[in-house]
Amino acid sequence: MKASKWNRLVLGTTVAILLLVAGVTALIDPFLHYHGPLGSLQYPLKDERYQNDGILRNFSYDAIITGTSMCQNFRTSEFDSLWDTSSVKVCYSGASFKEIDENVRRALLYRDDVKYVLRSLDSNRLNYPADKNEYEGYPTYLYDNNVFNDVYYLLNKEVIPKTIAVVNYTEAGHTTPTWDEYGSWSQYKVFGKEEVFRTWSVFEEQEEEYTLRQEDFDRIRENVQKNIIQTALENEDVTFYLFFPPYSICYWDTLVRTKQLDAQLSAEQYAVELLLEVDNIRVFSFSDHVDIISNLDNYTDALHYGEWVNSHILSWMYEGEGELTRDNYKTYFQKIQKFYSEYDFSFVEK
Amino acid sequence: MLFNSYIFILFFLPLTLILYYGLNYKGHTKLAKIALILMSVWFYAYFHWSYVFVLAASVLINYTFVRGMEKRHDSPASCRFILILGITVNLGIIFYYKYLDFLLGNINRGFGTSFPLLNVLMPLGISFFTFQQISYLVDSYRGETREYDFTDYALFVTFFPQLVAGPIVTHEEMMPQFSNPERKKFSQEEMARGIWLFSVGLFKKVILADTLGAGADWGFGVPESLSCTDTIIVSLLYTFQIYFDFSGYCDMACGIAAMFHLKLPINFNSPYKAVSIADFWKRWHMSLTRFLTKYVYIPLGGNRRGKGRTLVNIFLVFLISGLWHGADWTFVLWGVLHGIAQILYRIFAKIWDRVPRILAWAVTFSFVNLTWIIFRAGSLEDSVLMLQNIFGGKPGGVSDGLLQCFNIIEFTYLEEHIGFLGEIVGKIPTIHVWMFLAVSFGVVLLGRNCYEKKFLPTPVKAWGCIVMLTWAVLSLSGLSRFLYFNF
Repeated sequence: MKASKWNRLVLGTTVAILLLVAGVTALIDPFLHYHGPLGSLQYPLKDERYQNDGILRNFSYDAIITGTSMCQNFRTSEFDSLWDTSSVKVCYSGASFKEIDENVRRALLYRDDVKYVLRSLDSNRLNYPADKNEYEGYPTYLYDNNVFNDVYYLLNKEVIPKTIAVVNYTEAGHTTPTWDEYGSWSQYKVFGKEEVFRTWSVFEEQEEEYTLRQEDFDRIRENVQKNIIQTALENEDVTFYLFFPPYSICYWDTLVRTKQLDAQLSAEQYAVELLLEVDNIRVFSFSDHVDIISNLDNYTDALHYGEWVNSHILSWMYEGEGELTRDNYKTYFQKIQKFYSEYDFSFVEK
Repeated sequence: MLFNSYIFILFFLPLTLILYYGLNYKGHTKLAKIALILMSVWFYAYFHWSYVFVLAASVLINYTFVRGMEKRHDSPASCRFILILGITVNLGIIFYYKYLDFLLGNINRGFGTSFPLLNVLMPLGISFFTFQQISYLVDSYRGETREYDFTDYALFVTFFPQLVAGPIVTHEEMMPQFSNPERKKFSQEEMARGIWLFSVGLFKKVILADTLGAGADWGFGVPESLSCTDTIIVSLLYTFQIYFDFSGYCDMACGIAAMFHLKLPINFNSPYKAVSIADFWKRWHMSLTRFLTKYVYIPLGGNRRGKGRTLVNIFLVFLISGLWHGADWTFVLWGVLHGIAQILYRIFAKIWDRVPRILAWAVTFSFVNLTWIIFRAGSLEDSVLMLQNIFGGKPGGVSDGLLQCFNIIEFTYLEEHIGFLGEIVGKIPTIHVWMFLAVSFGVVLLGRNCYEKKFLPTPVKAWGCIVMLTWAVLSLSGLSRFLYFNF
């Protein structure tokens, strides 16, 4: 074979294959980066960190439900019927405040008619450094408008099965999940005391009281200001609904036994003080809903509650129940501190 | 910029080739060289812009020394002074960037002092371009170089295929090629050979080395939790990772040079086929061995000053080789062990050469494999721990963490779609690891060095090349897994 012909064959075929892969990926677009669902194709939504940005870019909505796994069971249909919106749900399992804020910011850039943002205020992530990411390897090439780095998406062998999966999913008769269904895990989990105790065990009683130092307060302030308040100030027309997820009684038991109850509540109170300075932020806490919290039938582990709790949270927030204001927040935290420090945790004796 | 990156393969390399051949075709040969230098600088700056200043300073300073010696060629004392000054400056630069913190750290540990560490960003490939220029200074002092202009000299140092990881080329290998008018013409044969070499190298790096490396990284990150079996597997994974990484790099470097109708010297010649440590060092990183022989071992007296001095010289060369590879006691110990092995071979060569070849190979390979543990370990303590795991026979099978490193998309897809493959994996969960190790052994022991083999552009090679190239390019990116307890 002549070298010139060999070169043409190798380079021509290689370029053709790569163009084909890139072209089909862009056309079907399993991560919805370029467009919404194509024609009659149905899309499995299983890769939130790869698909959420595309959802925010290419779908219509005027409200956003975001946050961690604490928000994944929310039903946008319930939210919409209460607030009269057309909302979208884009959650990020285990995300830090920073990651959620970056996504909220992008959503508000993509659409200028967003009225509400609902997000969780995960207590266990308050005292994180403001620039902390929970994971490595985010697909940042999907999160910008740089067309050149899209090559990481278009020429990616691990995306090929995702592209094929869209076709197979459609052929199997499935439909693209609704926002109610997207990310929701409640129906796949077992709930109850036995299940919670499978993954949670009683912590050893600590002698020394854990207290927050000045650097903890500084870190909380920076985290809240940079990753929540700043975005709210820059988007005055958007109302931010933030809530502390109602973790189970096991979580409170751990706080009490490890002598962290006062420190945790101080952290939350400090964050609330900062947040209430901003007019378009509304903060909710449901730590006093003992009927929910102490009933482990509502939980699959120490933290995660079932979808019916999410439904309660929506209606509580809509009705203003559990809302912290400048007038009531101090009394609220005092009440919570007193309640859990005196609570009888003997239930943990199996 | 890495060879195994989209920007290099899809943009930088084609653009540089078009620029180079376009300018040469129009008769602007000088401009073509300048374009190649500028593109090489961009290639280098892509790692970190500040590196460029170190590279530029190094080239300018060394060229000034060279011209100084050329101008004072009738004054040996002046030339000698310039040479010593030049070598001192080069070693000073490399010492500052690579070894000063190591020295300060050891002083602080040894004497309880608290000298602050500089934590300077070490320019990539500094060991390569510094050694290359030291060799040029020495050759210039010896009168072995001609008066090359600055463009040729700058291209000799910065030529991007060999800039960051070698081979350490000499002036007589490269300079005549830069001025050869025939080599400025596009050659279909050399382009085909270059594409083939590049594809083979890219495949070795991306598909083999990086997958093996994931397992090795996992194992070397948790040495305390490895069983004996784990540790042996992890050590082999690293042994093959470094092989395919370096071999792949050398193939790509030679392939790219061939695309520019230039020839780089062979740097890697099936080293794991070696039947003695001396044989291994004739095959592994050959241009470094050549440098250390010519510019360290021989000036120290080589084998001309008696047997005892010869052995000392060998030891010193390997000590330097260890330090050259990195500023850590792990590298020093690795160099020392190879030095001792080389000395033992020198003493017992006649007996060793009568040992059956298969036994000699097994001992050599095992020694190389075990010493790579020390080379790769995060600390001497970690390497001791891993050697204890092996020789203490620490109980336990193959860890799940290690197996997960080999759950690559190709396996997953095949096993999902071909039923019996999934069943086999269900019965033998470790099969992926064994497959990678078996393929690695097969390639390093049975494969022939593709650089030395005459390249014939056959249809089989063309389709092999297409498969390797597309597979590797599509593997430059992957998807991350964000595991959060199934939520």
